[in-house]
Amino acid sequence: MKASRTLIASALGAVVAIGAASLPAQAAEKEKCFGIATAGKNDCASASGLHSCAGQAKTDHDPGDFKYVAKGSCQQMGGMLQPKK
Amino acid sequence: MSDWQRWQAGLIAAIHDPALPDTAYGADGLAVYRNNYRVGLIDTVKSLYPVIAQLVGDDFLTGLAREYVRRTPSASGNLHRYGEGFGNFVDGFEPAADLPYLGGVARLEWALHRAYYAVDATQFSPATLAAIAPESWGELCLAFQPACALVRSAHWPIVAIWQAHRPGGAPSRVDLGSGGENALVYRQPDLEAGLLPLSDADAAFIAALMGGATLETATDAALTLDADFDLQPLLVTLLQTGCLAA
Amino acid sequence: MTTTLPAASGIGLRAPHYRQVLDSRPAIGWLEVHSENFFDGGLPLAMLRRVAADYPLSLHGVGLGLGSASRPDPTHLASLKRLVDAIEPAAVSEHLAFNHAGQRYANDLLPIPYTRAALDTIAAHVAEAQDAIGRPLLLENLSSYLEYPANELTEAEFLAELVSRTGCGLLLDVNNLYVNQQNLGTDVDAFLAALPAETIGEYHLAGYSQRGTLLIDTHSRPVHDAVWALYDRVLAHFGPRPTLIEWDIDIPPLDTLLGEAAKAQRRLDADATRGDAR
Repeated sequence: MKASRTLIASALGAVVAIGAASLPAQAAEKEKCFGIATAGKNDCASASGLHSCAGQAKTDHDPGDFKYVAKGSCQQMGGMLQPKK
Repeated sequence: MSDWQRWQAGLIAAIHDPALPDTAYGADGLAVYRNNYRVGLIDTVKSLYPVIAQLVGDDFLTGLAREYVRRTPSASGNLHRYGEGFGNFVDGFEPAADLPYLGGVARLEWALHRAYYAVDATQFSPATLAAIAPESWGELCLAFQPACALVRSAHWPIVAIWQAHRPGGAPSRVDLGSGGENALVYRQPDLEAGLLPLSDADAAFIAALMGGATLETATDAALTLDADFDLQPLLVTLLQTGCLAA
Repeated sequence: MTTTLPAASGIGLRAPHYRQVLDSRPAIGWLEVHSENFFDGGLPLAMLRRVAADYPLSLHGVGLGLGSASRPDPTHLASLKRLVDAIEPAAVSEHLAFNHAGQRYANDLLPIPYTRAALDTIAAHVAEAQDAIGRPLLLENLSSYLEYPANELTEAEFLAELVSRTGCGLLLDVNNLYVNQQNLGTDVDAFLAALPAETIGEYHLAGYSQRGTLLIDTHSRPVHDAVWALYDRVLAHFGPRPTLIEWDIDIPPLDTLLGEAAKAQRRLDADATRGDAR
């Protein structure tokens, strides 16, 4: 028998045997997180007032060309490294 | 196209392209709409990419977002749909070439954004398998939840970078030479978006399934990369992360 | 009826206040959210279900662009229907505005041409949207910073025509009316006279900003005195309706919003007393 078929037979057989126990646990208190901004949560739109029916209060001054230097935590990873081939 | 329809199409075009003349619409009013459009989309893009903001700082991200918005007209009335191609844009944007991992991290953040908002589909039930003859299991095609996504980077440790540079945390050093990483993005039981690192073989298996391949073809793809590929723990992971849909 | 909201004051619920509102359950007549922020599923929708269990809720759409020459996006309509079915809100509203030409969108509320030809098309779009979600919409008047040069109707006449053709209701934004009066010279008396009173289901109040010679409807400040005065005129003309305080930029503490809503409530109460005496 092909290696893949053997793997499938044993893996799916095990999942059938475990049954519902293999499914995700239900969150008991999922509401505890509402309104808390954590990384990976992207409640961006309403948090920043997007999708509002309002006009923008601030004006974007377009400098015309890109002349920024990255000044974030990327510097703590040191300079750029060549990708591993 | 009638006059009023032409007028609408012209106004949209004038808002999208500030280089077009403003004479047909009145300069002051058009300036308000042009500004609303640009500021709204720039803020949308910036809010989608908090780890990129941490990595490069606010000014650099604002500049990137402004360039992206200039090149990418909005194609939906739902702003949650805007910003998907930002990672690919960054990959090809020369001033960001010194930070070649940014695009991969951005694609990871986009997947997390979609995992947060995606439609809730019915969970796959293992009982489905019991109803199918084991000889036919290899022919199965498995469906994924809309919240679930696979993000791969051939060269950069995007999961380690993402974990080390989340906003609010203390950034830590990542060995950029440690090689590529893959991430499975999913919706946690508390409904926040989460991610798990995946081996190349695991990622190949999931990519094949997401592309519509049968279980057997996907398993073959994983075994080609890694003769020791083990399906069972991966399958349990996919079930426990709620990634499989009925 | 196009709305089952109470004729009391409410506030726009925005992300910075989700937690506080769920925890403290402030005494307020009702809440309104932007529909698109709860499209599809996940945590935002789960949160909104909790809110809907405690308060009458209004879904206020900003992205359908029913006034566009091209048809409303079927994906957007399907998402709205899913949300309406999940939440069963007391009101569903949108704007009489356009936001796309074909597949190209401006995520804004753009002024439409008020012409007979546009009316035929836009009435069809309103009907299509109402059919899709299975209930009538409230349509809101707009703040505009420019106008179609060949209008045949006023905005109010156009809204009244839409009401009679589609059975939709109206949402009268008092700040928008004021801003248009200042920016475009809109005749407020004629505007109020043209609207069918019984179809008005909701009022909006918000603060504007000034940029150059234009007032911008930024929803970033307290309601201005002149807008309160116009609200009093509106109440005297049409009577009390559910009244929303909108605040979307530089969002203040919840208590500030509730204070604005209390001001509106005092005016509603005073008007109801006058109505009893009438």
